[in-house]
Amino acid sequence: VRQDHSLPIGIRGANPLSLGRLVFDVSILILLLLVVFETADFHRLARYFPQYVALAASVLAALGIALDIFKLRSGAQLVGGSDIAQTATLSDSSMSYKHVLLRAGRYLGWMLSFVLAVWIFGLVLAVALFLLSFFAAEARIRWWANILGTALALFLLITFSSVMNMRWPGSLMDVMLLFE
Amino acid sequence: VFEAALDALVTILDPQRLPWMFLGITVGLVIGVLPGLGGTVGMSLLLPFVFGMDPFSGIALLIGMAAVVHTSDTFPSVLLGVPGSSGSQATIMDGYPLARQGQAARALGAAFFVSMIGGIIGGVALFATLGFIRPVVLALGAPELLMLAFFGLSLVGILSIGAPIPGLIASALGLLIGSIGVAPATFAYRFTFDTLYLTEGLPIAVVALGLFALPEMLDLLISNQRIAGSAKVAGRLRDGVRDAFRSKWLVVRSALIGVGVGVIPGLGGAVVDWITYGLAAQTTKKDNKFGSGDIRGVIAPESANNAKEGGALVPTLLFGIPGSGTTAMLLGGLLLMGIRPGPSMIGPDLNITLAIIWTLIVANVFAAGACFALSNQIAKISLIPPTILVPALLIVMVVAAYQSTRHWGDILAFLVIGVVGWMMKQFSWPRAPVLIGFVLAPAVERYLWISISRYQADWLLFPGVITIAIMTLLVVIGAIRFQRSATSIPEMES
Repeated sequence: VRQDHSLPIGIRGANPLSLGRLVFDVSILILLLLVVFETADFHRLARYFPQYVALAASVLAALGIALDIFKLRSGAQLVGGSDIAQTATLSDSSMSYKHVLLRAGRYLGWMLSFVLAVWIFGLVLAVALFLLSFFAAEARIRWWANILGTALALFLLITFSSVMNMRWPGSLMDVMLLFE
Repeated sequence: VFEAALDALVTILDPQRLPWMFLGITVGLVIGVLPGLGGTVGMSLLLPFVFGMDPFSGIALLIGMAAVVHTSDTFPSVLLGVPGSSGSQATIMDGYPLARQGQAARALGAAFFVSMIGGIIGGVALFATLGFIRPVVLALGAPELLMLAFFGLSLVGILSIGAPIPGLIASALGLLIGSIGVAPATFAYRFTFDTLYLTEGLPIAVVALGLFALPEMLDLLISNQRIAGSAKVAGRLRDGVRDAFRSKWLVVRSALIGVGVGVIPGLGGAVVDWITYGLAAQTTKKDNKFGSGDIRGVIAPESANNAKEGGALVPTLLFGIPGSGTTAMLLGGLLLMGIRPGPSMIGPDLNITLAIIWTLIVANVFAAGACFALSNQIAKISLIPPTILVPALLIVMVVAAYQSTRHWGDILAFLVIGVVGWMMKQFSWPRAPVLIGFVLAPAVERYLWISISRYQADWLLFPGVITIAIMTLLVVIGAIRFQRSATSIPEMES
C-alpha cells in the first residue's frame, strides 16, 4: 500500500522512491568527486575543462542533497516533480514498488541474456533463441505465430543488414570457427 | 539566376535522373524509421554508388536521401519515444505523450506537414543567402561560436522544469561524458581507462538510444500497456495539418532558426531541435502544455530539423567545410563526382548548386507525401502489445547501436547508459540536459581554449560575443519565468 505523499513524514518515513532518489543523488556526488580526483593526473591543458565542470557540478550536487534532506525533514517527498516527458513506472500508483522493481529486474535480465547470447552464439542464433523464448514465456502467443514472427524478424534482419551494408557484432562462436 | 534555376529544375526532373532521387528518398525514409540510424549511415550506404556517376544524378541520390531522413524519423520519436535520429530528439518530449493519449496520427500529420514546409524554407533560404552569407559566416570566430554553444546550454533551464539543480548537474554530466576521449587542446586521452573503445569518445547515437530508448522499452514491459493505451489510433492526420496552420508563425520562425543554426559548422545538427523546442516552450503563453502533449512541441523541432539541412549546405558548398558527419560524407561524394565545393559553386558551378536546392525542395515534398500515405499503417505500431514490440525493438537498437563504431563497446555503453537513464527517469532527473551537454561539450571546450589562448580576456568585449550573451541572458531569464509558471500550474490545480 502506497503512503500518502501529502502527509508530513520526515526522513524516516520517506517513501522508498524518495530514499532511492537520495541514494541516487549521493551516488552522483561520489561519481563527480571521483571525476575531480581522476582529472588531477591529466595534462594541464586537458585537465581544466572536465575538472572545473566536475567541481561546479559537485558543489551543485552537495547543495541539491542538502535541499533534498531539508525537503524530506519538512515532510515533503522528493519524487513526483514535473520533468518533461516523464512517465516513470515507479511513480505510477497502480503497482507496488516491489512489483515494479521485480519486473524491472526480470526484463533487464531478458535484455542482458540477449546481449550475452549475441556474444556467445552470434546475432542470428541469439535473435532466434531470444524471440522464441521471449514470445513463449512473456507474450504467450501461439506456437505457430511464435515461429512465424521469429522467422519474419530474422528475414528482415538479414535482408536489411545485407542491403544497408550493416556489420554484426562478433561472437565467441566466430572465434571458435576461425580456429577450426 | 531565375533562368538558371528553371534550367536546374528541368534537369533534376529529367526522367533519367528522377529515379535516382526516388531511390535516395526511399533509403532516407527507411533509415529515418529505424531508430538510431541517421543521415551518416545513409550516406555511407549510398556513397559507393556515386563514383563516376553523372553529377546531377548523384546529387539527386545523395541529397534526396539526406533531405528526408528528418521527415520519417518522426515515426519512432512519436510512436515509441525513441529518437529516430539525432535531429528528432526533442520531438519525443511532446510527440510521445500525444501518442500515449491516442493522438499519434495528429502528431504525425503536423510533423510531416511542417517538415515539408521547413524543408522548402531551408531550400529557399539557401538560395536567398548565396549572395551575402559568405562574409557573415567568416565573421564568426571562436569566441562567437563559444557563445553560441553557451546559448545552446542555456536551454537546459527550460528542459528541467521543477528540477533546476538536477537539470544543471545533468548537463554537467553530459559535458563530462562529451569530454571522454582525446582532449582538443592537447594530445591527451581522458577517462578512457586504457580501453581502445573510449579513445574516440562515445557516439551520440549510443548515448541517445541509451538515455531515451532503453528506459522507455523497460517501462513499457513493466507496465505491460500498449503505447497508445486504447485499441484505436485516435486523432487524424488532417488535425495535425490544421494545428500547423494555426501555428504558422511558429513554423516559419523555427524553420528560419533551423537554417541559421544549420549554417554554423559543427553546432547545428543535434542541437537545433532542442533550441527551437526550448524557445517555443518559453514563448508560448496560451494553453502551455509543453512536456505533456502540446502539438507545438512537435511543430517547432520538426520545422527546424528539415530546414537545417538547407543551412548546413551553405558552409559545405561555399567553403568546403562540412558541419556534420552527413555533410562530410556528402562533401566526399561531391568530390567523387568531380565537383569541387568552394566559391565556384556560386560562379561557374551555379547550376549544380541550384540542382541541389531543387532536389532539397522536391525531395521534401515527395517524402511528406509518402509519409502521409503510410502513416496510418505505421501509426498502428503504437497498438502492438509491449511483449511483442519491445523484443523486436531491442534487436533493432542493439544492431543500430553497434553500427556507431562497430565495436562491442557500443552495445555495452548502450546498456549501461540505458540503466542509468531508467534510474534518472524514475527519480525525476531530467535526461534531455545530459544530451545537450554531451552534444555541446566538444564545441564548448575547443572554442573556449582557442578564445582564451588567442585573445586572453579581450574576446569577452567582442560585439558578436556581447550580442549573443544578451540573447543567452534573455533565455535564462525566460527560463526562470517559465520554471515559475510551470511549477505553479500543479499548485493551482491542487
